[in-house]
Amino acid sequence: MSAIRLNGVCKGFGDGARHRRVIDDFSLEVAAGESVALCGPSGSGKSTLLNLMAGLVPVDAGTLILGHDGRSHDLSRLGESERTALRRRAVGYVFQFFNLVPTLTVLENVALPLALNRLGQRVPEARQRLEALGLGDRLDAYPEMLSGGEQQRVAIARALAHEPAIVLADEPTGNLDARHSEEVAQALFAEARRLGSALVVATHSAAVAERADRIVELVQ
Amino acid sequence: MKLLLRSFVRFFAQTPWATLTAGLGIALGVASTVATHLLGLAVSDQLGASAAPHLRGVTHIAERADATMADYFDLRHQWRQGKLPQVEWITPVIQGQLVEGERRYQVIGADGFRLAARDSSVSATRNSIAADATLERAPGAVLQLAGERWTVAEVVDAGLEDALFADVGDALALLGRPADHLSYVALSLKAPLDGVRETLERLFPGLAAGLPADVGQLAGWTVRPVASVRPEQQFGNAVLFTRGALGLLALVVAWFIIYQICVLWLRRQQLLMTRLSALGVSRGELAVGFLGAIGVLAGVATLFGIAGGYGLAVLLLRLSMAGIAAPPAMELSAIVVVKALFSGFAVALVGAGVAFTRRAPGNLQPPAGRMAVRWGGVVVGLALIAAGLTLEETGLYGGFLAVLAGCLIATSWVGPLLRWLRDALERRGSEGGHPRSSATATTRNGLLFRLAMREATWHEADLGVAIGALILAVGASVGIGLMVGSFERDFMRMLDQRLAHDFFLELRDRDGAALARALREAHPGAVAVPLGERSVRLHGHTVEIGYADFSGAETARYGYAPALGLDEALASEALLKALGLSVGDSVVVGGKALRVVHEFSGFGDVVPRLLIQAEAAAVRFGALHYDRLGLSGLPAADLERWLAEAAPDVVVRQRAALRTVALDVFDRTFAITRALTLVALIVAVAGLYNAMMALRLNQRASVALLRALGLSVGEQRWLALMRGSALGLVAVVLALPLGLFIGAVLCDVINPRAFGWSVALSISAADWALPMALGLAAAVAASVLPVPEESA
Repeated sequence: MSAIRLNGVCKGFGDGARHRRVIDDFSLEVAAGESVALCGPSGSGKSTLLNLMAGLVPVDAGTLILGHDGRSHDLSRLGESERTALRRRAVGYVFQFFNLVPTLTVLENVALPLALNRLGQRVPEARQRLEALGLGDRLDAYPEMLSGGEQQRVAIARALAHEPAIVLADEPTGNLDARHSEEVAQALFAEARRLGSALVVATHSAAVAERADRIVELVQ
Repeated sequence: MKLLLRSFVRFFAQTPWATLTAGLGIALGVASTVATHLLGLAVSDQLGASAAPHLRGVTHIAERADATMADYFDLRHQWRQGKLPQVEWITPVIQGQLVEGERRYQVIGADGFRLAARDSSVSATRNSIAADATLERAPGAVLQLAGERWTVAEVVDAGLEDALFADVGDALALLGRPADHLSYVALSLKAPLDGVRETLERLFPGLAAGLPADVGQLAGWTVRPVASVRPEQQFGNAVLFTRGALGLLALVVAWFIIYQICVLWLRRQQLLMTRLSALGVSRGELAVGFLGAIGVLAGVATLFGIAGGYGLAVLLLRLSMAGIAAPPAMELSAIVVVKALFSGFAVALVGAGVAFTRRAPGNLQPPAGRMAVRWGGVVVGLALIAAGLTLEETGLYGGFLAVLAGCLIATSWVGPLLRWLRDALERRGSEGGHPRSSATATTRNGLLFRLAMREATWHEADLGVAIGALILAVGASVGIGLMVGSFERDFMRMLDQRLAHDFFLELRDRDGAALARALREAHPGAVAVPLGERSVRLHGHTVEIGYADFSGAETARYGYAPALGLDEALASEALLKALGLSVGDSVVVGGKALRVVHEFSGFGDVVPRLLIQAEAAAVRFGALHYDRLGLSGLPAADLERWLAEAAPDVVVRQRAALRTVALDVFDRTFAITRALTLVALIVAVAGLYNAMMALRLNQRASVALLRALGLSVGEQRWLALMRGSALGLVAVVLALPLGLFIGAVLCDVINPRAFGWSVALSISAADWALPMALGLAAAVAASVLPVPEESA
């Protein structure tokens, strides 16, 4: 069973004359444990595709199916609350900016998806992952006290804490220097691989894209 | 500069909700000011219209023991020689009581030219008098008094019951006093700041009631302010003053709101201002642009506030006078408009100016050393409270200054309380010396609760002042609620005591004693107590002496069990306060001493009262006149039947009806107070909503992140609910002690100073729970209500 299957998906924004179709008849299949890099110029719809896969926005047409717990979930048929519940259980998301809740500490940020999924008993494991990512001495720090690279590593730890079937990352290294980009990309791909999660990364970085099993080029 | 102003104005237009709330705050603050001013003028005009003719323009009265006309002429001689430069004019006054047949009259004699209306020549005519409207005599009516015929030349609405005004000579003849008799000398004294006082009084009707009275000096004479003979004027002014002070509450809350909104606007404009600074725009130019735009907003809001204030005043006046009298017409004078414009602009520009000075680019952090300033402020505030409460001379100003200082102390501690809460929550997360990470909440509710608490306590700069405004409004609402509730309970207790008789009969021209005797003969089971009173002057104060057969049952109406002895008296709280006496002290009436054995509450009594046995009154005043009768033990039907035959002109008032009327008057009295408090509360709620809205707009990214993590709509609402509840709790926790303080000051300081009576503060949950619940609900609503999308 595929982790993600998009078939003839369309998505646009705006009304009437101002309507703009961003995604037009797009199809893609990502297997469990596979990593895919979405590349393309700004405005080509990379972030929109990730938001569709996360169920943050509904599709206008086509089908979008996520595989989770041995079942297929057709997002195009789910309502907002069902999409939210599925996202909570099955998806981990890493953004380019503003990845962490500013009023929660590093450990609390990572514990948040666990708590939401009533998996509080796994917090010690999450702590160990943070230590493995070199953040063992920053557990009590608030996001504003971290560097950009540290913040992204925490975001990765949080996205994977509840061992989701699908990990989505939107320009995870977009605002990092080369050294930190390398560290973060390495951590993201390694962790997703370790958990057997499907990973879809939207990126402009060739170095990051090259780490993926497959590269999908989007055109405007 | 025009471009800069246009830029800021457009920014306001792009943030319509914030602009609307700021405008609403200004408009409601102005409306409250306009409404209290117009109401004050209406009441003031009524008081002025009913001024007794002999006291028109009088500022003080002078008296001395056994004063005679010779003393007056001596005083006048000194004045004419220029030896009394502070005196503008003087006139003798004769005052006494005349009992003619079954009717008593208050006779007041003064200079005929002073008594006469401007277009009349009453004073020049011998045996002509002016009659108070309460006598119900038409001009031209003839009265047979003191063996002569007297013509009512004009009717005056002086508000003095059964008063007759005559020239000095005529008054002496009516009262049968010797030609050199003198009651007191009425004076107009120049005060150094008279002009300022008059201007202030025009700007703030009732202000004079709060100012300490000018103490005049005349060698050999005791000089007192005219209020000692016209206590109702002082009473009315005190009402105006307290309402005026309350009217300012909404303005103060509006100031807080403007400040808070400006801080938020400045935060949102920070990037723009930094860019403009980089382009070479000076800080001064930025300030002018920002304040100019706020000025435009203030101008528009003030116009709405003026219209709203007029409507509010009309509504409140109608509400308070419905069924009593036609409300007087009100007009928007230039003074009201100027005052409204000043209030609106001052509130907006000062609020915005302070916000700009503290938070504009280049100065975005709060100034250092605030704790020292805060503690200094607390010390100064406590000193002001101590002075205002303990120094009687500070009058109403002292009382309200203490309230203001208490409000400032309470609101200044919002920030530290939020910080303390934040630190306490952090400490709780690292209990027992272990790192906080070991205590990380692992349950969904635990973590969301922690998140909500942090969101509530981390944004002191964005929310602190709005919460302060809410504390102020809720605190004032609690304090006023406690005072009104306590007053109502005391008032009802007093009513229950006073209205012990089933009926009260108003006798008009009949002899109460004879009527009581006839009633008892016709209905042996009936208890009929004739009640009478007369006005005397004690130590310069007009005092009402009430007399009756004060048996144990009758004294119980004043909360005293035993029957009154012939040398004993019951005194109202206002009388003891005015004369500086206590229970157990003696007071001399008619040359004979009476020992005060009990103090009673006299809510609603404009004049201090002393109650004595009828026999003791007869010894002092001679023939007694009774104008009312208390009656019990007789069915209503029997009473009506008997009265229809024996005394058809007598007016019967039933206990239940009197009680209803009294409570109705009570409710009307406080309707305006409650409405003004509500206006302040609305301003505060609107302000807090605005602050929360701005905060939530700033937190959109955070909300989007939580949504991406799978936080459901319900959980997001729960988060907002927790955050709002935490903020509401902070507000009500600080508002409750503030409210208790305000309630205590109103009951024990302001009421006695304004009206001469104190109210026993009783803390009933019904009085404080509603404003507290409203405050909490307002904070929750502000946190949960949808946030409109704004482009800026």
